[in-house]
This record gives sequence, structure tokens and C-alpha cells, in this order.
Amino acid sequence: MTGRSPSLLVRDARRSIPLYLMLLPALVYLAIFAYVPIWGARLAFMDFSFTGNYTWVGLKHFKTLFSSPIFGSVLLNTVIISGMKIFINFPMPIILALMLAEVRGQKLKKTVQSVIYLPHFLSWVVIAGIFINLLSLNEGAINKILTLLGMKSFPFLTNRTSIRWVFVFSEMWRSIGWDSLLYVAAIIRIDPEVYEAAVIDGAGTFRRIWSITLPAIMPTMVTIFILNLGFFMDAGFDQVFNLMNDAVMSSVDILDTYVYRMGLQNGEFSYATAAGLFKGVIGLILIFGTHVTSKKITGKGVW
Amino acid sequence: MKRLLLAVIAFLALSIPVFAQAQPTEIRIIEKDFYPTDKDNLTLVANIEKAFKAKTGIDIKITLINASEDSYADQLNLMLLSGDIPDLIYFQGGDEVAANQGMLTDLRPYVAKSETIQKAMLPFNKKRLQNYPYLLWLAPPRLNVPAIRSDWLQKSGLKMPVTTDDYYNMLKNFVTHDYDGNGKIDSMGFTDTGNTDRIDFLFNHAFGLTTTWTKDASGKFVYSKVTDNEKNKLAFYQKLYKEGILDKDYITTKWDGMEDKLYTAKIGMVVATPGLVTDIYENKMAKAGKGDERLIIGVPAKGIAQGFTVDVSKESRGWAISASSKHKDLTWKLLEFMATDEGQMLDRLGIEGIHHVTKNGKVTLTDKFASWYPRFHEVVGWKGPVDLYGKAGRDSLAVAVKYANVEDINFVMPKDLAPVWDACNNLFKEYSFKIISGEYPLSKFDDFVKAWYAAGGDKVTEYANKTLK
Amino acid sequence: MLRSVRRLSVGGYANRALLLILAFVTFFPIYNLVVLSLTGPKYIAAADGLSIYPKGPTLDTYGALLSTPKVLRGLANSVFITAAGVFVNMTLTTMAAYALSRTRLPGKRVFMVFIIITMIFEGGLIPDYLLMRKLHLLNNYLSVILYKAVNAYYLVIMIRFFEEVPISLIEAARIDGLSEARTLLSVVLPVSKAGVASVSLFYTVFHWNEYFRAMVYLTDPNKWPLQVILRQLIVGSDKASFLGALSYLKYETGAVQIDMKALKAGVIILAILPILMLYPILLKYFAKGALSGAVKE
Repeated sequence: MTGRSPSLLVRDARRSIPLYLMLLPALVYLAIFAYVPIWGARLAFMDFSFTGNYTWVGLKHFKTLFSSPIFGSVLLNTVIISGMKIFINFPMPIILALMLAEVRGQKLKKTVQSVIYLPHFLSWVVIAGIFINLLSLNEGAINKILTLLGMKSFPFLTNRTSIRWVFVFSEMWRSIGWDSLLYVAAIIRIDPEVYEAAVIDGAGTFRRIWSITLPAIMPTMVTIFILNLGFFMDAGFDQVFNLMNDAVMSSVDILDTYVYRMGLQNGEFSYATAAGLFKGVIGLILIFGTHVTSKKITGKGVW
Repeated sequence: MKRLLLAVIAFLALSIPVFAQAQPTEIRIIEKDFYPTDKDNLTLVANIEKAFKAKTGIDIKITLINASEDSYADQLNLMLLSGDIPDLIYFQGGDEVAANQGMLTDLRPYVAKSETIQKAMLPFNKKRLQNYPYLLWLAPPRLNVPAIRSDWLQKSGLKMPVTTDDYYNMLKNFVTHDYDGNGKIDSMGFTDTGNTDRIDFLFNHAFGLTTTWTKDASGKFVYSKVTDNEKNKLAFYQKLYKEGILDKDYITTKWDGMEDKLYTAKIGMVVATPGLVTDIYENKMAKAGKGDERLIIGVPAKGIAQGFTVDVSKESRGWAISASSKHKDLTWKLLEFMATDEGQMLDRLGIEGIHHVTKNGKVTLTDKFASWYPRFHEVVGWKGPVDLYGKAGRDSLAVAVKYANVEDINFVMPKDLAPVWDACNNLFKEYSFKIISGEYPLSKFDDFVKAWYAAGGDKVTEYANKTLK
Repeated sequence: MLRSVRRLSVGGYANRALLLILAFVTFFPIYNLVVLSLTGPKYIAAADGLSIYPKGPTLDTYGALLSTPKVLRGLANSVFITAAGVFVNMTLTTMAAYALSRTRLPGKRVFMVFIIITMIFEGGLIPDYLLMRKLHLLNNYLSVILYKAVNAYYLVIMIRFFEEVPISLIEAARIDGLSEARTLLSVVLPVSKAGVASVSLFYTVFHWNEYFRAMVYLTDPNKWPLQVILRQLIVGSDKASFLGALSYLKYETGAVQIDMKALKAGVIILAILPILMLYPILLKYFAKGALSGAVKE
């Protein structure tokens, strides 16, 4: 591993037996309940049949997937939407956690914290309904306010560019509170004495955050960032499915909605499984790629 | 001792056939939202078993399999895969895969022998069965029929619209007056749900769009959505959108949004499924208003043609009998029974005491009847002891059946053309909205046609001309 | 953070203002749903996402939802499944996370890869179902309790928290002769309260909200958790249904009519209510001083 001599390794291994024992149940669980079904995903390379007589077809389903005329645009949409979400929605919960940490007085903090995670519990069916109501051209509250202020109403939901921003912001609204939880938990363990020492040294708010808070939560940040990259190709099916409409298909059709339309609705399980595998492979590459890079640069990765 | 033994043996011997007979055959049924935990469903099932025995002398035990709407496809596939296949299966898509793998029974021989079912079928049901013999679906045609607010029509002083111009004039009248009494001229004519499918029912024939594939001047088949007729129709819709007759939010409106707009008197007309649905809309609309508002049913707009197109390639949903069922004949008998008078009585009227009340032989529907829907068949033309529909429901069904006058010319898209077809459809969806909303001028339609062919529409057209007669 | 400065700076005010706006914006939709669920049938059609108070207020919607005995049984099932599930989750995850947080564990990289792969790849419903069938766990509570018993994402988060425990504490425990298990229980866990609380919350929410697998694995309706029961009370869901229209709920004790809009709102509120009540309890573990002054450097 790190070029340690075999005898040292063996000694470490023997010492670690209690640790291996603690690790074992989880590994056994995953071997049975995760890996056995994953083996079932080989369906992606076979033709599906209800009677169970699958026939091997190799890469046929992948070829069908890649050769669709809109695959390129679907892939591009997925990358763009996912990218936008990461760019905006990754930092926001961190900023929120920092803001919460700066609040003096427990009452406000507790009140705010008890409330901001609520939207996370609403399903996208409900949230899409809320945003569609809010942003409708004629009836939406936002447009009504705009016209009152003398401006022209804007078709947020049917404009090919703005709809992506609607995705980003509705996602942010839903998750910012919930996602900030981990960062709040990380900030808590910072010893308050370190802050007090910094104040005595004359450090201002931002200086404190930059030199103390951020480095302290850096491992958490890096971990969450890298892990989330595993889901990069997801881009949020539930959200897109519920918020999309015919006018903006070409700019919000993502891999999962495409597969849903083409595969699942026609019972084409193999096809859907192939798409899932494709997504997973990309996700895995992204995770390992960033992990290795991060380790080289900052010395920290996922492990 | 010996006599006692003989008596016991005799008793056992005699009782065996009794026991064997007393075991009712179990028929397993899966249909979405037909929950085995619902009290009403269980009562219905018990009633059916009793009535079935009374009519045929056969004991059956109906077992409902739990399946809910929002995951029905998944659950159904799971059952089919695991080999644990119910006898009677309701499909709403996904049946072709099963049919192609020989898992569904050909129903034609059964139908041929059943007068009851034949009587209950409408002509297009028969055609569909011929083309695809695996699904049986006895229900009103799934068309959408225009329903107009009676109070607004009255206030406008206009007659019932027949032609496209009539409809335009009426809707324009709605839009330029304040019939909902809120002091603002902000009413709309109608809306749609995410696309123009509903209003297409109303206007397609008027613009000459009578079949999905149509012959052009040279006798070749061409997709109706790339013809000049479609262009003219889009021009008309563009006008409706611009003048506020068509709800500008139609593209993001879902069906519950559409209903809200009806109930809050924002629109003067709705294009909806006939029958029960129209009655419910009328009920709720009146409840939210003064109480005397009604929905008056219109006819499809008259122009180049008038009427509705019905797809006859296959039933889009319906009942199938599993090919591996051990009780195919009995399952069919049950299906047939539910279409008879006795069966429909049970299926259409709901539960005695809850949805209807019988006193001195007279049947009256209760308030809660509106929440009942038939689980098996909704045979059009079945006469029950009492009117099951309100006037709106009755009229809308009559219009649907009367004007369903054209059989569609279409075909099932082969698997390898499916991705290309998807791309073509997406093109249409975007262009049509942009033209309707005025973002594109009408001339862009020609660009659309070019793009459509380039995206693979030419391949599909080629296939169409090979397949269609 | 600091007790020394008394007055709030401009930034402090801005901070509080922004937080309050966020709190309002996130709170309002839930509040609105409560309003809808309490609105009477005559006014429900006009009620929308901006309604602030229930017109024609009525408790009938909740009455209808709660009066079915199924609902109470569903609640009991949910509590059982969640409690048992989280117990299994935390046991497996905490032990594994502790082991993997020890730097000198040989083969650590291999284990991490093993685990992360399960985070990204899934067999899906059908292989899972077939596996459950082979294990004879269908219609057994265990099938749902064991569903995603080890969540790789949460596991890695936990590892991260355990790694943050100051080495000095661990070494002190070693010197005192504590075993690994003891170290975990007496030293690491108490110091990682916030992290452990967070992951417990995640698992709790996961189990509580799970309805699809529960419905598919458990064929006996008496075993169904609350989410399944509540969802089935709404016949004709958001996609085009058999009728294509809203339909009234059958209400046992009379001709009371309950509108679907109010019903759906009520269902949502009921479904998340227990979690809402759990969260503030959890905030306790986020109190400062979780380090409990165990280390004085």
C-alpha cells in the first residue's frame, strides 16, 4: 500500500482483527444485498424476456442508446443541468451553515433551523405544482408582481434557458436547509477557544471564516463534493419529469427522462438497465478521477 | 363395530365429492386501484361471487391483488416476471411485450361464442380485437368532447356553435365580456393540458386532419402533422392564443389545473372525457358557483369535415387473460358475466346502501354515487334501473358515439424506428408551441417540415408507405 | 460565537434578515398545505398556493384520514420498521465506519472501493425482488428493514466524522488499555454526537418515507407502513387516472364530501408530521460544546 514491508503489514493486520470483525457485518450485508442484485444488471447485455430465457446480445442495447438522434443533446442537457446544479447548489448549503454559525442568540438560530429543512420532505410532484403556480405566464404570482411594477411578464417555464435556472433554484429551495445539516455538524466541533484567540488577535469575521472555519470543514466539503459526483449523470429525474413541458423538451430532456420515455414505458428493461450502467460507469470514473486528483493536490480525498 | 366403521367410511366417501365441490375456484385479478383492502371492493367482490353462482351455478372466489396506480407498470412486470401471474390482468400499456412473448390469451374464439360481449362491443372495439386479439375493453370511446358553460352561453345570446367560425365567435364573445362578474375582462375561452390534444379533438376534422397518415396528391402516404392542413390549424390556434382565447399557460397546465380554471370560472369551455367525468365537472362547477350552472355539450367543429377519429390498431388498455392461467374458461365466463345485465347492475351501481338505495323496487342514487366507478366494464348503451349519468354525461356520451365516424389509418411503430420517431415528435412539440405562442411566425412551419424529414421522418414515411394500404 | 462584542454589525443584521427570509420562504408552502387541508369544500376550488387561512375551516379531512383503522395500524408498522431499520443501520454503519476510520487498517482501499461501487450501481427492483424471494423474505418485515441497511454515502460521511476525533483521545484510550469496541463506544461516539445524530436522522427519514419497496415486498396489507396506506386513500393520482378527474373520498359516516385537493394536502402533512416532530429533538445534539471539554491542549 505505502511500500511498507510485508511483515509490518501482517502485524498490522493481526492487530486489526477486532476492526475487521466490526467491518464484517456491513461487508456481508453488501455482498448479499447489493452485489447479488448488481449481478442481475447483466440484463443490460441480454434481451429481456418474461419467461426468463434471456439471450446474450452484447452491446446491442448500448448501441441503440448511443445511436438515437437526440442522444447527443440528451447527454449535453444532463451535463449542463448537473453542472449548473453543482456550481450553484454545492456552495449554498455551506454558506448557509456559515451564516447560521455567525448568528448570536440561540432563539433565532433554533427557529430558522427548525424550518429550513421542511421543503426537503415534499415530493417533486408537490414542488413542481408550487413552482408552476408561481411562475405561470398569466396566473403566476411572480409575473403578476412584474406587471404591477410595470415590467413585461416573462415565460419562466417555457423559455429554454430560464427553465434550467428554475431547476437549479427549485432544487436549491428544496435542499439547502437539509444539506446544510452536515456542515453545521462539522462546524460545531470547532473549539470556540480558537475563535476567541483569533478575535483577540484582531481577526475580522471573514478572516475567521477563511482561516478557521473553512479549513475545518474542508474534509467534509471534499467528501460530499466527490461523493455527489457519483450521481452526476442523474440530474434529478423526479424534478425534471414533473417540471418539464413540451415547449422546453430540447433543453431539459435528460438521460433518465429519455430512457423513461423510450424504455420503461415499453417494458424495455434491458434498455433501461443499459442506460443505468452507462450512468454508473461515468459516475464511478468521476469519483475516482476527482478523488485521485484531490489527493494529489490537497492530500485529502474520499479515503 | 364393523357397522360403525362402514358408516364412517360411507360418510367420508360421500362427503369427498361434497368437499371437492365446495372448494370454489380461485380467480386472481389485478387492476390498478382495485385494492383488496378497500371495504367497498370486498363487498362488490362478494356480491359478484354470489350473483355469478346464481346465474351459472359455479362457485368462484375472487382474489384481488394489490396494485396502486403510480407504480402499476412496475408491479405488473414484477408479477409477470416472477411467474406468479394472475388470471385476469388489466393493462394500460406494456401489454405488447407480454403478448409478443405469448403470455396473453387470444380472445377471439371466446368473443365469437359470446353474444353478450358482442352486443356490448362498439364497432371499433371489434376492429381493434381483430387487429390485436389480446385485450378486451368495454367502455365509451376515449375521445374528448366540448362542454360549454350554460350561463356564459346564455349571456352571450349566441346559438350552440357548430362550425369553426361559430366556435371562434362564441369564445371571442366570452373573452371580451365579464361573464364571471369579477369586474375584469380577464376570462379565457378554454385551456388544454400540456399540449393541444384536447382541442385537437374539437378542431382536427374541421381542418381536414381526419387520419394520422393521409394520402397526398400523388397518392403517397404522408404524416398529417406535416401537411398544410396542420399548418392552417396552427395558424388558427396562433390566433386563439394571441387573442387570449386559448389560455397562455396551457403548456404547463395539468389536469387538476384545468379543473380549477373551470371551477373558478376562468374558462368558458372545457374539452373533456365524456360520461362520468363530465358529470363530475358539472357538479363541482355548479357547487363552486350559484348552483344552477350546467355544462352544455357541443359537437366537434364542422369545417372541411366533422367528427372524431378512432384508432383501431389495438385497444390502448383493457383486460387480458393470462396464457398460463389454469382457469381460462372460467375467467372468461367471469369477464362475460360482468357485461351481462346482472353483472353491470353490480359494477355500475356501486354498493347498496352506500352509492344507491333500493326502496320498494325503486332505485335512487345517493350523493356518494359520484365517487363510484365501474371496476370491470362500462358498457355503453346499458340501460340500468335508473339514469346513471346526468344530462351532461348522457349527452357527451351520445356525441362521442355519434361522431366517432372515422377509423384511423395508422400502424404500430417498429422498435428500431422508435428513437427516430421520438426525435420527430419532439420537433413537432416544440415547433407547434412556438408557432402557437407567436414566438415563431407561421412561415417557420415550412422549416419544421424540412427539419422533421431530416430528423428521420423520411425513414418513417418510407416505412408507412410500405405498411399501409 | 463571541460574547465580547455587544452590538450587531450591519453584516450581522443582514445575516439575520437573509436567514429570516429563507425561513419564511421554506416554511410557507408547508403552512399553505396545512391551510388547504383545513379548508372547507365550498372554498377549496378557489384556494391556491397563496392561501393564508382556511376558509370554511373543517377538520373533516383529517377525520376521514384518521378514522380508518388501517391508518393507525400503518402508523404502528411505520414506527416498528423505522425503529428496527435504524437500529440495524446504525449498528452496521457505525462499526464499519469506525473500522475504516483507523488509518492503519490494511486493505482499507479495497474495502472503500467495494463500498463505493454499491453506492453507484444498483440491480434495481427486479433483481432485488428475486433475491428476496429466494431468501424467503417476501411478506416478511425483514425485507423492508434490511432494504439499504448499509448506505454507502452515509457510511463515508460517518467515516469522515470519526476521522475528526482528535488522535490524543484515541491514544489516551489505547494507553488505558481499551479495546477497539470500547474505544468506539466510550470515546469516539460521545465526541461525534452531531455526526451520529445526522446520520441517524438520514436513515430515519429514509425508512419513514419508503413506500414503494414496502408495498411490493409486503403482500399482507396489515404489514403496510403509513405511507402506503395514505397513498392508497388517494385514488386517481396525479397522472391521468381511470376517470381523469378528481373524485370524492368515500367517507364512512355520512354524506360529507371531502375534496381531493384538501385530502392530498392532508395526506402530505400527516405523512411528514412525525419527522417534523423528531427534528427539534435531534437539534439537541447540535448544541455547542459537544466536545465536552475532553481535551485541553
